[in-house]
Amino acid sequence: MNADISKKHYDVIVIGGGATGAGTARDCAMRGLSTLLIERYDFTTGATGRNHGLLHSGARYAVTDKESATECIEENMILRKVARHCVEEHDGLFITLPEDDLGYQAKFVESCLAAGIRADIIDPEEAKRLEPSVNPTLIGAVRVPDGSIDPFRLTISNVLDAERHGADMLTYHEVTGLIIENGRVLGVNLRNNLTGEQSEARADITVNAAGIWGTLIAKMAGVTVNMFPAKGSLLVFSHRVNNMVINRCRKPANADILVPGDVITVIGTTSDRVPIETVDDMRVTPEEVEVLLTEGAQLAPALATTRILRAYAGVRPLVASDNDPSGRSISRGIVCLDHETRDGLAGFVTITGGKLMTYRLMAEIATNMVCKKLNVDKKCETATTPLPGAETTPVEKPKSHMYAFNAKVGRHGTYAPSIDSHDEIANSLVCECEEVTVGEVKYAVEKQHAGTLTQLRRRTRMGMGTCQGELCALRAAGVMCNVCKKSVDDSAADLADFINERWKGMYPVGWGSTLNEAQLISNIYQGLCGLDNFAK
Amino acid sequence: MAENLQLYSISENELEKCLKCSICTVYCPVAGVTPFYPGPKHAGPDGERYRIKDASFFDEKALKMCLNCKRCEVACPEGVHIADIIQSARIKYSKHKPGLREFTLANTDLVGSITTLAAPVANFATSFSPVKATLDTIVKIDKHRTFPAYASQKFETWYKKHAAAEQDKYEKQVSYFHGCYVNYNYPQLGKELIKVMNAIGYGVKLLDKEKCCGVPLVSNGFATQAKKHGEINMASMRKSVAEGRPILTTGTSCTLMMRNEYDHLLHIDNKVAQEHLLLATRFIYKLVEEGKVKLAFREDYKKRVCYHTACHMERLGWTIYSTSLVKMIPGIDFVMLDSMCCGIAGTYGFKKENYPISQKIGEPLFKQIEEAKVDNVITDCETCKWQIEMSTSAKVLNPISVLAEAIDYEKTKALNQ
Amino acid sequence: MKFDNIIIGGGLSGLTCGITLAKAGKKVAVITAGQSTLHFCSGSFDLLGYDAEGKAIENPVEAVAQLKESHPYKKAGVENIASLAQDAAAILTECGLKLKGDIKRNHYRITPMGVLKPTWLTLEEYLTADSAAGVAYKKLVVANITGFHDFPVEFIAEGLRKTSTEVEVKTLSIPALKERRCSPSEMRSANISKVLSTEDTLQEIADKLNSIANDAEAIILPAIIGINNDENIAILKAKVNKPLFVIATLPPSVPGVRVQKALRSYFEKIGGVFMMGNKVCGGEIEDGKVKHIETTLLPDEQLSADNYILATGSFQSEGLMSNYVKVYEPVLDLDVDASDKRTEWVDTMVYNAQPYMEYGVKTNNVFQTQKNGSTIENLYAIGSVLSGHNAIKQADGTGVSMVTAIAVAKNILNK
Repeated sequence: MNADISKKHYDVIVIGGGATGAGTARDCAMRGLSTLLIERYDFTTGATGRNHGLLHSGARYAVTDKESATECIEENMILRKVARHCVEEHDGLFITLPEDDLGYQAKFVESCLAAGIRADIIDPEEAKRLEPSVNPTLIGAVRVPDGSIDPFRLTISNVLDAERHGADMLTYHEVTGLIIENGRVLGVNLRNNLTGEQSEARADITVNAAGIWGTLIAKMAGVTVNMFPAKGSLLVFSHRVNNMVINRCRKPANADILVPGDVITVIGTTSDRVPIETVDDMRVTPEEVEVLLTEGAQLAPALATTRILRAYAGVRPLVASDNDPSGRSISRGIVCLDHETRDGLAGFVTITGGKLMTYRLMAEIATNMVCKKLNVDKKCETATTPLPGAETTPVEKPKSHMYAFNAKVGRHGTYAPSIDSHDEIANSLVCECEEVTVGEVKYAVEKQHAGTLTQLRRRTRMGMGTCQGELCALRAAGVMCNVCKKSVDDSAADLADFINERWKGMYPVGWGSTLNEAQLISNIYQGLCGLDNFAK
Repeated sequence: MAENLQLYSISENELEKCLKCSICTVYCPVAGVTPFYPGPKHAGPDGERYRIKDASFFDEKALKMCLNCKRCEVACPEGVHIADIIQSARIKYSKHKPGLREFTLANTDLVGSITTLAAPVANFATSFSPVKATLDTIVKIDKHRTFPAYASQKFETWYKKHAAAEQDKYEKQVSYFHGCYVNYNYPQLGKELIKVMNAIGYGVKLLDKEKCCGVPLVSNGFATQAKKHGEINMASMRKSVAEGRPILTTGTSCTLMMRNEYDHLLHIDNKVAQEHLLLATRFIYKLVEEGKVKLAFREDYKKRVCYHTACHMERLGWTIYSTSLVKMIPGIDFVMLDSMCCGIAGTYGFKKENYPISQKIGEPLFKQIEEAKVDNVITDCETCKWQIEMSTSAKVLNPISVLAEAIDYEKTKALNQ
Repeated sequence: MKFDNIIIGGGLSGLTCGITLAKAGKKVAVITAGQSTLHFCSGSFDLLGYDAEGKAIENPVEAVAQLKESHPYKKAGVENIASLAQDAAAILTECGLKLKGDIKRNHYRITPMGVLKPTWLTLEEYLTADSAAGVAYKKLVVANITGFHDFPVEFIAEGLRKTSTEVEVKTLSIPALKERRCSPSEMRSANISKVLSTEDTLQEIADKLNSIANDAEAIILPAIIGINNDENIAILKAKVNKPLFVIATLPPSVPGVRVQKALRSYFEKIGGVFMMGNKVCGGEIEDGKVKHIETTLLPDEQLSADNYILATGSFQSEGLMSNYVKVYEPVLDLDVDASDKRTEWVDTMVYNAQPYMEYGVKTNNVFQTQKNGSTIENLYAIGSVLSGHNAIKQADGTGVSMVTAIAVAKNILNK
């Protein structure tokens, strides 16, 4: 651990490196607070990195939860501006199928409009023209301003900007306890999850933004925040099936959102209550796969015959407010707890509930509370200040032979030109499916805290394509050996880990081309290379 | 539950079966000689995922360098139609307006018609340095390229005058899709086919209406025109089949296009071609194999030949018919060349920017041919013939021509009466 | 069309079988849907590398006896393995391949991650070690091509250092290779090898190698020379003034392409018919025998033979296929050894033995296949399409391919 960090006394410590934590750290830092962000693994390891990547219009909540719907559409419009490099504005459809009640459509549209969400009823034929993959038996369609958003990019952009405003970042540090004296939280005890080393960090205010794990942090502080862990599983298809989001126009249910993101399509999600003890190792079950496929094929029949790359699951951090076993009618409203007034514990704030779409608003609310406690009078500017990469300067789009550059612009926005591309080697591809260059690997390592292959994947999409790391992972490991100054054995172990992590997503959908791919990957890494020798 | 739930996968040109194994890249003749072509994997399935997302990822300049030799498809263990992915992308996304050069190269039939009228002049002109220089600098057709000579009389004209009447005498009949090459550049081959077919007791008719198959049109950016041509060809073929005549060809690329590509590249109903369009060598071989036809050969015929597998012949998978047929000739000393691209790829090698690539691709083949020390090179493809004749000392023949010169016409005729 | 034997699949197994049959004067056709897994070849041929506990095997011939009964070697007969393997080695040699290795004692190949793995035969140009203790050299220079990412040189150097060999890592380039690197994606082993196929480029490489060798005892390059034949390797060796060896790269494997070409050319030279890029898509079975087979490219052609050999490989070659409900054999829907339950196909940890790796078509003791429980007497299966062993865990894939190929060929010839 950086000696400076344990010596320093911060205004605020933010626990949790998801979108909310990173957003809060950025907001605090922009308001002039000295800020430390603590994350037990890598950024976006929790629910932030395990969802649809849907830029909700809010329409989904319009009928059942107007407040959430309004928050969503407002944040949707803000993110289109301040995070334009993370957003794809392709709109979405809410379709009614013959077995659905078309009567719901009117109520739906009315609720959308009431929440301030544009909702245009369109002819089913027009819907088919706009989105050819849609179930052709549809009897109704409503067009809403849904889109997609890359949560990895979004979070990293927040991290980068927080750092630009002076915040410190501490990844791979887990909070093992809170330092409490005289009814006041003074900081946190930490364990370095890579080395096991113990340390501490101190601040006037500690913000608990740890998602579902926030319930455990609260417990360490001796206060109770009951959260409701609801597991959601999703499937990734090998290429874009649809170019618009497709939803079912009915009461929200399982597997009824199909989102095109980057060069793939994601279907989700299931919803099942799981015990808090299991949330660190979420695996997708065969039953969930079946539900996702069956329901997904209702939205776009082509899914029945499209290759599936992988399955993954996340845990929704919902605040339990009733005993609804489905976890759906629970308000996704933002909960910001001042434990001083609530529990008599000063210097401790929990921000939870909400969703990816409202991360910025959550950060604003939490930061407002922190500022009030610290008597700082500075307005929030995150709704208007673009994130790094989303500044308005247009990047000139190069033409021929520059796929990789196009992909980089997609990922890094206005920062793409600062990625090393000065020679043939910097421009050469490490990952061919997702067009990741040597220069981009270096950029991720040097500027984006990527120290492992999994972190590199989250920053760049390396290994997220069709082949799930078949050649690129070893190429990247080679590049990182040099750039990260990591020992060769550590790099090899990291690679072994990475390939196993990819397999975790592949085996639940291990049939067809995905099983063929798995065999090829194993033959290359284990048969040809002997990577299994480095596995822990 | 959907009935077909994950029982098989469907994707255009089998895009998603790609395992990214990179075997195709070994067999790409273009990527092997220039770094400026991103190779079949990247131009094909990898790039397609991006193009599906956003058409602006279409890279015209790079994809244009694909020869469409289809050796990537032949090599692919998973059956991905890599070259078709690339060709489809060009048809779908290209905004490039074809120019005079493309027009000249694409319209083999129209340009052919005009030139045949003035063949001596045209041949003189296209072999004359100042004209070649003009072609080179203005039309951007490479000056090193020897233009195929134009015949003074079109095959169709010759047929009507000298052969048509004879053909009705035969009880068994076939139709012949001669293609632009036989019609304008090499009527000799058409005449030889008629000789062989007549010898084995078949009359040869032409189609009611024959148009260019569309290969040069598609590769030069005239897909709409190619589709129109294709519809006409298919209609003629349907009529021919209805009248009891299967259709024979003597060119691989026309055959591959009409049989295997019309449907998914140009969305033409080509069932008739899939079922009844055959290379003449295949047709004849089958007859001999089944004992329906007998061949008698000249006793004095002796030749050492080598066979070059044209790319589209490799893709058709019919090499065995042509080689088996040639090997039946007792006087033939047969050498099989390694199957590799000669570099011309139809009109590709005529373009100034492609000429050096084209020749570099062909180098190993030319070397093998020179080392084989043969009387003739045999190949089923007409553009390979131009390329090999221009680049080596060899004279190139179609297997049908070899058959025509090797058979004892009278004896064969007698055997098949 | 009628042949004596039709082999479905043109990889190591199919061609080994084809050559054995063609040499005996049979009219043989090999029909193959695409290029083979030789393109991922390590440069070595394994017979049996590891026992059931994962321990390296010293004498593969002796170790065969310990294998479980389902293993193809057991079907071929423990006592026959040595002679079948020697026949296989002889075929590779006849094809013009130069190999080193001893059937009674495994040697070690060096992987692209610097791991030493036991193996039986290795192409002569490769660096190998007599034992797991390391290579015979105390000081090596490992030279990579600048910008070539498919040769992770740091791992290789570290692996060799662990066996107490001193290793210096260098990179080198020549103008023609610098130009090759202009392509963001196509700086691949096979393309490099095409560049390094002229006297001039080889001379330039040799000059560079000679200038960086210093006091090293030998020089190591990635396996990027000699895609068509081994002439260029000989030329380069003659120009370099130290012993020169190669280590395997990531795919595509340049020596693998060369092995594929050598086998195919030899097969064709002795009269075999090789149909490239054609896919067998079905056939007719009558009275327990295959009558004829059908292919995608010759739809109206019935190809028939006295005996048929299935050498289509495993999942990655589509010799086996799977979907949401089953594992199946796609050509004739033969009976397979595989679990009915999808969840049993895989283990959740990638480095554990994966059940699907042992899946394959059911065969009897002479490798005859079966359908709906009845034996098909003139349809045999060989190579990776066979069930009963895990090629990754046991390092026996190439051995099974060749041994079963020859066993079946002999069986057919003795019929």
